[in-house]
Amino acid sequence: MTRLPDPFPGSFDEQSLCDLLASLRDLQAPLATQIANRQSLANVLHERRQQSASRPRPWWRRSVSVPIPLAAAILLLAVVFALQQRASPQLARDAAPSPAHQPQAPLPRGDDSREAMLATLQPSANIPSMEAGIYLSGIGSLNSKVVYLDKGFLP
Amino acid sequence: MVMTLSESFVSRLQRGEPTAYEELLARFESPLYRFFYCDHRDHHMAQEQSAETFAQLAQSIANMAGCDGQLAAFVFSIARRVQLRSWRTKKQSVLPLESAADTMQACPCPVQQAAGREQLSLVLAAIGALEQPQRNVLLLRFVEGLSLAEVATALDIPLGTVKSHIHRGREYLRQRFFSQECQP
Repeated sequence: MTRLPDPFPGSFDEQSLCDLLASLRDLQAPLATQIANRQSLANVLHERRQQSASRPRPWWRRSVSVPIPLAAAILLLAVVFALQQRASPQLARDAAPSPAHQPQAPLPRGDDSREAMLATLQPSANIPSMEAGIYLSGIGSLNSKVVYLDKGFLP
Repeated sequence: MVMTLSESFVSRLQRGEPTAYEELLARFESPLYRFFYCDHRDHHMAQEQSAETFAQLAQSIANMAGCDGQLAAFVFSIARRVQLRSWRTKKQSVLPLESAADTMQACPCPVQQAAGREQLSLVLAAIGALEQPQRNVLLLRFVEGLSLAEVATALDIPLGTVKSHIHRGREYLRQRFFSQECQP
């Protein structure tokens, strides 16, 4: 079998193939094709626009228009409410009487029993006292005991 | 063909900007026409297929998940689907080669025009004799300038198959042009 000599000296590489097929690049779309392409695209885009315009939006994507004074009033109310909520725990804490400032019941006169006297006895800042207790870290007070140091009241 | 596209070109197409579609037409209408015309050499069919490809492209561009660099592969993958669909539904009708050069750009010099037509007719005949996969690969790679990976993506074939088609197509064209040059 005889082999023919290579028509492309060296090698018929990609560049040679590119040059060979280069004349195909002169093949341009004729005017009729360009018009048909534009018409086809315009039809599709018009259909798409119509579809998107006619399709109702789901309720979570709908919006309503609100007058600015109404919106401002709602916003103001919301801010005031939030400030009130923030301030109310502070007020409640301030308004609550502390055990030290609670009004004292009148002491029984005469020689009443020791239990009755102790029952009516409230801790007061005027009476020197000492508090002893057991605390556990992380839990708090387990037991506490108040000892009054006034010898006139205690035996 | 230069395939450099701006950064947000695909997103502009997805938003439906008319100027982006004008740019798309300017870039791809001749390559698509060539792609179809070289397949069957029927001007009317190529025109229909080009228009159908652009319509499909406008419908499916919203689903394209990729950057602008992948647009060429995306466009030709749609063209490939249109080609396959019309190949299944329509009967192939081959026009005479003389009509092929009618669509060529006007050349100022008649001698150059005649030479160009002859060269174009020869190349069209040669590439038309190739099998469709090889023809598509050679057109996309050497006429439209797509990379090997882009050709593989556009035609939905492995990279190795692309290389194999290029090798076989190159061998075939070498043999064919050599035998034509040897003819008296």
